[in-house]
Amino acid sequence: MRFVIVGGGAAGIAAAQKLRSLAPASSITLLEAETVPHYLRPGLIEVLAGKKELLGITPYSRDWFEKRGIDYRLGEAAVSLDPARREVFLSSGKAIPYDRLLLALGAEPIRPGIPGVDLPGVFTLRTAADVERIRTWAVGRERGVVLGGGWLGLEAAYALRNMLEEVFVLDRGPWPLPRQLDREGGQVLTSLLRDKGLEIVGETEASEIQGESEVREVVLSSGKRIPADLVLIAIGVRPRIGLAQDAGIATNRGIVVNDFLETSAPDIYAAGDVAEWQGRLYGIIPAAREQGLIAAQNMVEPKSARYAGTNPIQRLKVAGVDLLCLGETQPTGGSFLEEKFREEGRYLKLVLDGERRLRGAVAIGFPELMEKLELLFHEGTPVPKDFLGRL
Amino acid sequence: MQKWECTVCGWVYDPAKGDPSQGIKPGTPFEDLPEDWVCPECGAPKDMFQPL
Repeated sequence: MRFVIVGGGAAGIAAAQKLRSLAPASSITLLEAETVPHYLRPGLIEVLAGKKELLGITPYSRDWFEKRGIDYRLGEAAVSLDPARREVFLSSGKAIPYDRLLLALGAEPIRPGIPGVDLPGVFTLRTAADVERIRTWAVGRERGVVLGGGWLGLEAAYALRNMLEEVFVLDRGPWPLPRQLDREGGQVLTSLLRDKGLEIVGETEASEIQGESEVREVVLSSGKRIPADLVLIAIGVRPRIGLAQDAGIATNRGIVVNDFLETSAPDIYAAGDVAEWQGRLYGIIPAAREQGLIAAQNMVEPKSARYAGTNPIQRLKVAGVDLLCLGETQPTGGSFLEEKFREEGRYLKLVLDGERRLRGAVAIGFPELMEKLELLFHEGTPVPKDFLGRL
Repeated sequence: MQKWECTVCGWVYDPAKGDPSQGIKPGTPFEDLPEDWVCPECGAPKDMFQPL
């Protein structure tokens, strides 16, 4: 059996490992467009901050793949695909035949369609090469603007602060992490980040990036201008569906897969950030890995394993701030009770139902409470009346 | 029991909790995790963890 995997990110690597353990005698080819060996993407922030080398987030050497008999081809991008002939074509024109194929192409950053977005000094952050380019550019620069106040935008801004004098974060929403945090939590986080040298500007959008030979300033929709010699765009990602689309495979926002992670084409599977399952695009490592493992099982033994969704792991830190958001943080309607505690640099909000069961929580600056809150949330035991009083 | 931290993303393996996402039962010491076990958050293998 010839297995081919297109994409060596979290899903592709997990699948390659699983295929090897389930089918020791099979041929496995792993195509990766990037030229450096697989690295752990969440670690790129530390590399950007200068706290780690790329090697420190690279888990497997080339030897590792060789020993397992995985034909690992770096710098080889698949440019087209012929499901009828069962072949993948590389940029060199070479055809790679497969019996079963996994599309684990991942996602790419979205660039807004505003003037100046292609000026030198404007970046997105997704790959090791992006980090390298940003770090090189940042030398001797002073003022950074990050477009997007989500997890990546905040983390990247915090890392950039190690190299730049000043970093602004612009977000459309009224406060950072608007989907996770309530207003007060957003205020507390904003002031904590300000103490770390990050200026968060909410309810604003960049309408233009200006400069002649390189970026000079960001023009906001309000008309205000922010000087900048480095701009980082972190407004989200979109699945890389082009290859599948061109081959006539069903796509929506991502490549559409069923519970077996099969695409609409026979013997072609999809997993990871590129896959859309039950209308969902997870975009998180645990889901990518799980899908990679399940796709591999089905590639070896069709329809042997069903994917049933992935529970996201709670994030516990952003830009060096301890933060936990659970369940309903901003309940609308229903008979929920909110209890709050706020003091300098700390904020705790509990959302309780009629039986005082924890239905949601925001905790900023309470690392010691996080485990307890998660337990209360998952076990559904009533929260003691004096919980806040004992802080 | 000894907790271990992922050097890449900071996720902590707590033997008391195990790792249900990979079928690891509560009470499993880090040393007894299978060789192909990885950090559930970022995918780092066992040798990228350090005792906390």
